Amino acid sequence: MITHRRTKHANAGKDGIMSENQTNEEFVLKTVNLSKKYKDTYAVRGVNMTIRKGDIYGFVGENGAGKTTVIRLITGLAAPTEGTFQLFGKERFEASQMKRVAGIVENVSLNRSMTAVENLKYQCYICGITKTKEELESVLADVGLPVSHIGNKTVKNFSLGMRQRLGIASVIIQDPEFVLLDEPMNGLDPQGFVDMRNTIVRLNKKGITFLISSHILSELDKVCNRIGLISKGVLLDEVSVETLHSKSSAKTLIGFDSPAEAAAAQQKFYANGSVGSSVLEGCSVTVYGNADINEIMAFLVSENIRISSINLKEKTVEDYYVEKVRGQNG
Amino acid sequence: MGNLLKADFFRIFRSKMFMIVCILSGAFPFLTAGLYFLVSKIMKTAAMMPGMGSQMFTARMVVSDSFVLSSNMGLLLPIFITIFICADVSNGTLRNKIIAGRSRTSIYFSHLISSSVISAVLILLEVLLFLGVSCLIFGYGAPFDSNELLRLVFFFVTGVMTFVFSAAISTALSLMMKHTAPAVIITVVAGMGISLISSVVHYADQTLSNRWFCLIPTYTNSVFLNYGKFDAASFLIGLLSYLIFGAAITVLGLLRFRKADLK
Repeated sequence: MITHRRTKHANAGKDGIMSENQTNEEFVLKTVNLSKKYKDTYAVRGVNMTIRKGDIYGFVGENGAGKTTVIRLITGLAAPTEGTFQLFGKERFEASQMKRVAGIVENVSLNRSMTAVENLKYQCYICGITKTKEELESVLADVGLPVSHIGNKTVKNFSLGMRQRLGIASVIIQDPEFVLLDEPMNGLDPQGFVDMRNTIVRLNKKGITFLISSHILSELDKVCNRIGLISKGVLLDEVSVETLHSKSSAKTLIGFDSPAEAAAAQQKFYANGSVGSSVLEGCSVTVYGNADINEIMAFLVSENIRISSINLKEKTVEDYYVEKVRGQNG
Repeated sequence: MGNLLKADFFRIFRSKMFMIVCILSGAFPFLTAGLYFLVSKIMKTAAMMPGMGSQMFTARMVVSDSFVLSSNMGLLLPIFITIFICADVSNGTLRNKIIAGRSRTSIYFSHLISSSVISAVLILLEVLLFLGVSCLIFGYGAPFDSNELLRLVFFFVTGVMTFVFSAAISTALSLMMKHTAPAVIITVVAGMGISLISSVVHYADQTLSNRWFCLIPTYTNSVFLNYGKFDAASFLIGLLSYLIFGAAITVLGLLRFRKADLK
């Protein structure tokens, strides 16, 4: 997985930030000050995000943060109140541009009274593409829904996970270049998680760019190469997962004998300031930031704080989320 | 647009509800004609109207109310269309069309065309079947000369237009409201309302002296042609009313649909 990420982004900057000489064609999506207002409230405000060709871009945020709204704006389901965006370097909603895009927004859209093959055929009609029955069945097999297994069952008899897989099949059938997936892991069992992840990575290797919004941060961590964090309608940060995993942004997990000792230690960390931001969880304190483990150890000794354990851990998307949102909320 | 039409017709023909509508459309002529036959027998037996039974129910007469929006088909078809289009929204398949780069205008017109075609074909088949069955049971009831043929042509053309107009109302309401229950209720109320207006106007102008009342949609068909006053002018005014009101409803529905945010 790591090798895949690194190979894929060999032409990008180390932090995943676009260099000036990259042309518009390298952008799959570029939003400029994208905003959506409902009555007096902004659902999203001033979102400037960039997705490059080949990215698997994870879109992270709490419920109601504005992830789905951004996806709805990009897919044309809603119109932005302010701002604009480009798809493949051209203005939005040009039919030729939209035909390169496929997606699942909010939940999988299927005809419940049709079979899986009929649903794919219907999607082909919508997209103006022709596929043979064998091709349709092959796509179904690819997502773990072989016709030998599902038979002529109509979609209303499918489990949530099967519908999710069929939704992915209806996306793949369109041969898109850019796929938007809103909560694609919903309803999947553990095997489904693995299959979905493998499918995304396999398609990405074929050159398909992904925008994936999900609450399951550990899954995003495994599959994405870039993360965009949105909170309360504002895009807080965009960062490459490679940077998150680098040593400089590791976290230090310090264990204490009791929650009271952990809380007291965290107060001292705050007072010190140079240690970085910290989060208290039961008997442990997680310290984020660039603080060196030796500095932390020295600080603990100088303050005469007893600890039960200390571990240096790679920062995960979840840590990044917690750190950023806490920072945002003061 | 061609691909969207293919998709919409594919969905219609795969729908179980469409099968039910087809079966009902085929059954209504037999049920209705059978009911009229029973009534005529009872009336004869009971001597309520001696010697009137066979004259009271002629094919010419019983078929005259078939193209009315308050008839069986006038209720069945708009309800089917409304449920069918609203299902496109509630299933989220409408979303798929937009994500696939289809314009909202083409989506709207694809729904309008497919529902109009289905309405026109089903009502035409139902009325022709009803006419055939009624002719067999009661006889046509009038000399079938060139004048009668012309009346029948006017009657069928305006009748089909009534149902195409009704399909335009159903399409607009479905895509404006997006929720099945309220859309069905308002569609039925709209159909009933239009029929009621025609009846009230007919009550006010029983001599049918003013052919401009034909500008009221369905009036030409349900009143003017039905009560024997038919000519090219009233026929054209009737067609014009469908064009004007049909276009107005379509423009209104399209504008609302184009502006609306979709979930």
